[in-house]
Amino acid sequence: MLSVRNLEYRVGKKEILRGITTEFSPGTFHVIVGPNGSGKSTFLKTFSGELKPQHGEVVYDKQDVFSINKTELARKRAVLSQQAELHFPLSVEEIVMMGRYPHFVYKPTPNDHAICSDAMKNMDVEDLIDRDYLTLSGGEKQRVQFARVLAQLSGNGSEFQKYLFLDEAVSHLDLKHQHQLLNIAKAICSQGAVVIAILHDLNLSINYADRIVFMKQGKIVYDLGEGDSITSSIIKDVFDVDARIINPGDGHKPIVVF
Amino acid sequence: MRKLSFRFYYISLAIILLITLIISTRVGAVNLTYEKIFAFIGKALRLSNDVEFSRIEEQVFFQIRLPRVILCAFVGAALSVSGALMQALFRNPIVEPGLVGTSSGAALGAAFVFVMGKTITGAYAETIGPYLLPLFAFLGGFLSTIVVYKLSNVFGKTNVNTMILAGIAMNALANGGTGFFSYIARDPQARSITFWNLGTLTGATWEGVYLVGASTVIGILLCLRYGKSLNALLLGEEEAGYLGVNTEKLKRRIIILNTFMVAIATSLVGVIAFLGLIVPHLLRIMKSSDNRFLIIGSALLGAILLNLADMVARVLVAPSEFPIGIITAFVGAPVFLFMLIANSRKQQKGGFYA
Repeated sequence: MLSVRNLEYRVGKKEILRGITTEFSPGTFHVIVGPNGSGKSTFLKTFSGELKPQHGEVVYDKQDVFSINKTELARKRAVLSQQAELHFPLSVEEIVMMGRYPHFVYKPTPNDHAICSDAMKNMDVEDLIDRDYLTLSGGEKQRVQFARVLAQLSGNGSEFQKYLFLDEAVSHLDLKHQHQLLNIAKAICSQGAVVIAILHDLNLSINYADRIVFMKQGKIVYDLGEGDSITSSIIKDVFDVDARIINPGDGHKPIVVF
Repeated sequence: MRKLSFRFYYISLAIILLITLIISTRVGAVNLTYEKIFAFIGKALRLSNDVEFSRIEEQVFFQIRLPRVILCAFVGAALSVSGALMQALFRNPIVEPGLVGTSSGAALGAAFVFVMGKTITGAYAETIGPYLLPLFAFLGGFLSTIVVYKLSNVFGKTNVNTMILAGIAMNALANGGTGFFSYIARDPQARSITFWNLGTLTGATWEGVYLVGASTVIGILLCLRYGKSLNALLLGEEEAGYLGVNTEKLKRRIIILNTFMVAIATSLVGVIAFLGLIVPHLLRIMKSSDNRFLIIGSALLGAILLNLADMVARVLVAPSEFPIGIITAFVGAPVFLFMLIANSRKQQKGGFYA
């Protein structure tokens, strides 16, 4: 369980987050949507422990996030960002192994190597193992990064509550790999992890989310759980875009058309 | 990327270093023979031997040649490791140890002593004179780095881009100061300033070896602990944070380690440019950008290359000496360019050096 209470974050006088209180529970696939500048990424950075809010608290299973040792936190919480840049050439193998850095002190164990190789298989990047990361295409890079994140969350037993956050992580991927990545995230979610993803595509969000949180101007303005359905007035209010919702029936999720 | 292990590179470099050290002790104004060198060492270890050598030769070896060669190895290691650290910390390939003002500040301190030394020591010139140059060079290097670090540390967060810019400004300021001292200096003093800025290992003593040796070995052992964190930092500060790295603490510690290693080395031998920039790149081209490899590899390769350069400096115009900074630049730059070109031909397009 991840609880956020009264979160406020300011840069100078500009209020980015204006009092957010909510809870994210294990096994539910949460999606955060909202227009540019609505504070989604800042929200993710605060509840992942990277930014310290001026006000409010972030609690991971009764423990305040800023009281948890950074390495310990990194063993159970992983974040995949839009596109991690690399400034020097490194092999794909070493990038994925970075996911294990919080788990070993100086040398990786055979278990760490096994976990990395599984993670690479899961993301179809095992053929790239010896490639220089800088020579990969945008989509390949993102899959390698996700393999790193998978390796980070693997193998520390089920007694740990795991947390996986995706910050616009599928924007650079092709159709197949978008679904592959989100399906794996969904599988991790159904194993009991707390999963929160920021997505831009509303239809993708509707397809994967168990709960959709709409943000606007630093606040949560709509919160749709299971059973609630998205309406065109919500989209108009949040994004200022006219849209229609079509229900294809026969078990398919609704589709948003513009 | 080739599949030879890191250990293969460490062992090869260590063997090459050992050979370089032995050859390096042989050549110079007085050429020694290998038999004599082994005889000196044998005598020092109280082993019997029957090679004839003169007392003078023995003294040249133990009082001049050996400390110089060992000091040279430590300085080369310190500068190259700090080059690797700085490039990783700033995530920038054109960074070298002097970037944050350490070498130019040290040069300013040295220029001050060359010009004003006699005036400020007065009657005590005899006793404190020899220590004045390294002391002021160290203070100059240390203070200018601290200023750069403080300037870039606003709101408790160190901004790496501000730090590069502050470093450039501090370098300009310190170079201006050094230029001013050269301008007001008398001719021999101005010449000393110029020579110091090109680096020289002439005055190597055992005290210097102990001092630089201690700071270098301790510095390298400490920074080995940060190899993993520096790798994570290559992904960016946020990603490194998500991997459990306390980036603020890391930046602070690396800057402090770097300043100690570079300021102490520079204070004794002057400014040696370019070495700290190219050694990490040569290792990246050879094998990998993994910082754990770069730290150990740079220490070994830096020691080898600086010793080779110093050997050339001693032989080229023997019995006089050539400034080592000119050799590191004249030999280092073409070799580096050649490796860049050769590598870009070989690698897949789109790689870092392609």
